[in-house]
Amino acid sequence: MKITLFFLVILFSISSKLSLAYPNYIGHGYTSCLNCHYNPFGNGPLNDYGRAVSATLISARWAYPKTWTEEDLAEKSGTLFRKPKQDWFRTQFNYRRFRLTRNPGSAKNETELWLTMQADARAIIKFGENDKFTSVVNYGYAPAPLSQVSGVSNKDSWRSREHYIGYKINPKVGVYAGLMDKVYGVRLVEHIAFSRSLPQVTMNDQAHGIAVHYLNDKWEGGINGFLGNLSQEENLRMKGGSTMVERTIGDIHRIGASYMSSRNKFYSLQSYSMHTRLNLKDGASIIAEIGEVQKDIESTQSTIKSRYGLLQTYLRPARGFYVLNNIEYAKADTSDENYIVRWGPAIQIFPAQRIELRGDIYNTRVFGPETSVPDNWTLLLQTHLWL
Amino acid sequence: MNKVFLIIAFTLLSSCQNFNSNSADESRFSESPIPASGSNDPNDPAYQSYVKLVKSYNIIKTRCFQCHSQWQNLNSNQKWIDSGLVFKNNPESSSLINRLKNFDPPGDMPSGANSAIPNDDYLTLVDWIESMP
Repeated sequence: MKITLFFLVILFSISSKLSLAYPNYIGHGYTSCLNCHYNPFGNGPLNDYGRAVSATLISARWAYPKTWTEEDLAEKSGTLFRKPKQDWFRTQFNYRRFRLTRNPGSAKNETELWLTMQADARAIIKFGENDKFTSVVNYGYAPAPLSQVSGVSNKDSWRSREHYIGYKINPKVGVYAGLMDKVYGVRLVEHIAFSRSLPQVTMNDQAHGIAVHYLNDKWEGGINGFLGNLSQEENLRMKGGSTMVERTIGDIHRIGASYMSSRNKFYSLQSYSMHTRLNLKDGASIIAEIGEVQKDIESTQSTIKSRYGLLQTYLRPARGFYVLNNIEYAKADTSDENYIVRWGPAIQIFPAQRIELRGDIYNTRVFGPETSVPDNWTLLLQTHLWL
Repeated sequence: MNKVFLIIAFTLLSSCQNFNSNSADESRFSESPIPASGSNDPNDPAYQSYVKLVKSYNIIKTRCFQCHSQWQNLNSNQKWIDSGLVFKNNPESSSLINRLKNFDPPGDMPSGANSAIPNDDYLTLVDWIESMP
């Protein structure tokens, strides 16, 4: 495999369509998603602590008077900049829009597209010590996938992204029931990463089910049984189960593994992966994942195997400023000699709390003995606001 | 107790789901809907055209239906032409061809982890459009 690594660029990653988790914050010492999210596996609304972290540790403070303390910033991290007046109800609003440019700089082939990727309203009800009971509803805008925009196509829609009840049996064990993301792999913000699309755990793949979460000093993991999305046609729903387990190494790093087995009327899918998240200190981190997916198709009695790999590096030159690099590998069919390498350097800036600006440029190259395909370049600029 | 009712009401909220990774499974993994040809004579141009349509349809089914499930209804040459995706006898002007990564300049399809389609498949599609009766 030849990978030409060059080009230093500026701008953002493939499509942070959703407010997924930011697993790179292990670089700040946050090994578990539970610290900042109501969903212990990441994604979805931030809890009060997570909002305070985003306002202080993550975001720059260039825009604020020097007399404001970190405590002042944290107090203003609530919805509409207000400190909540009660403990049991929270709301959040998220908005993302990006500009996608294909073949940037090409007078002949450059195309540009503006997309609203997310406009979500979220409500959280919680009570009990340490949010023992929670109920989360996330309702919002779901744009039709880019690949389906042309021609007679699915339309944009408004849908419930997730709605579930959670109950913490004790500080180590929680049970969650409802519509949630499947428990599998690293929940990257780049939802179309091959490590998300090939195992079918993208921004649109939530399923109704039950998940059990476990956390102790060294281990964190979960088991998820699911029935597919019950609002989808019955024969398309992927029913099955998945599990993910992570082990803390040296107090600050994680290694983990995942397995998922599911089926619908047309095929069964088995997927397994290994991953690691490494804390390089001061906000810097490395995330890596490799995996394999196998589809056994009923009608043809045939099998398709796919493999994928991911390596992400995050550096944090200054507070509120991240520089990242994303390298992905995918072989959609292992019996085919072709494979894809996608490389995407990016910058991510949080100039003030509730604002994220990100720019990626990524290069996609197809390798194979039979194909001679020119590289594909894409530029993405993103604005993400939350209240 | 009111809070419990509120929680239950919240969690029952839902909405329609019109696409995810499985939306096109039925069109991708079920049988071809192309009507059978009236002729089985390999020298009959109508039969040759039918074979090319079936071959091309199966390539598109394998490579494209995952995202473009709406194309499964295009089971005749005329329907492909009417869809605007195919220009009869002119593959270079057909977006079905010029959006492919195989085309020069390269398009963006198939998207995501899917690489350019095999060259044989690409040539089959080009030949099908070029020779449409």
